[in-house]
Amino acid sequence: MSLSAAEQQIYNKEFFESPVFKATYQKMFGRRQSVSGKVKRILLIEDDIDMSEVIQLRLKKMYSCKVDIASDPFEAMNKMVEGYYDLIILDWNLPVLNGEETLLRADQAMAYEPGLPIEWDKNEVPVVVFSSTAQEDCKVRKTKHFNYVGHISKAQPLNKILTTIADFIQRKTAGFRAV
Amino acid sequence: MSFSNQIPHEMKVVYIQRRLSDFAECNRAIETGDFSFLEKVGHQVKGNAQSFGFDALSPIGIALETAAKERNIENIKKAVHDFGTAVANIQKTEL
Repeated sequence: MSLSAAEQQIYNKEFFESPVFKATYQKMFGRRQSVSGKVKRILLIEDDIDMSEVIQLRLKKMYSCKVDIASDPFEAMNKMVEGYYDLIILDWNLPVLNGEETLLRADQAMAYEPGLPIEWDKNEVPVVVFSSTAQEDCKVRKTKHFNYVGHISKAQPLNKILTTIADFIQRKTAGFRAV
Repeated sequence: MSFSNQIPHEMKVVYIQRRLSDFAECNRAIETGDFSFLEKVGHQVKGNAQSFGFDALSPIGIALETAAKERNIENIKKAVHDFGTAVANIQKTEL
């Protein structure tokens, strides 16, 4: 069976391998691809650039995981809609919104987001609050997408902070191994 | 799991440079009455100084945050002065 000129255009291998097609396909369907079994992703929501840089560096070295940084609540919400995270480390004292408000608003927004990665519908992502505010003053309510699992004080040496984060990673996300 | 040499020297240098910048901006904030900025700097220093091994800055951060919350200008000025002195001292002796 011979193909018409239009059909030949449709089945054109060059077209399917072209950067334009790949970019369009990724934009339309890429966000719903599963990331399970691949590199684990952590979202660090922190407006203190000194802390976020050093924690990102150390976690990458320790676990080879991908650490995304959001420096304000709105950047965090955008990142949560674009990709699924295995763990969220949340600063309590963010500009404009506090930690709980950030997660509640994100949870509400995600209910109406059609392009949300499918993992968000299946799992509750563990959330660790990371703050110099006392633990009793910052507990996040459980929502459809988020589950508060603990608190880490900022006011302690970095090695203790990293040890505690490592503990949460190992407890809450299977497959993590320090390297 | 070992966390030795956890903070590279260059990150400590950048940290202190940012605190020097904070010090200059705190002085401007005193002039303009920007208490929220002063509170934010105090809060961040309270939270991150110890992590970088600069324990002497933590109580100054607490003092600045408290004074800014109370809008106590005398205590703010003292805390900012102490902050600048401590950061300059670290830069001279530890880096």
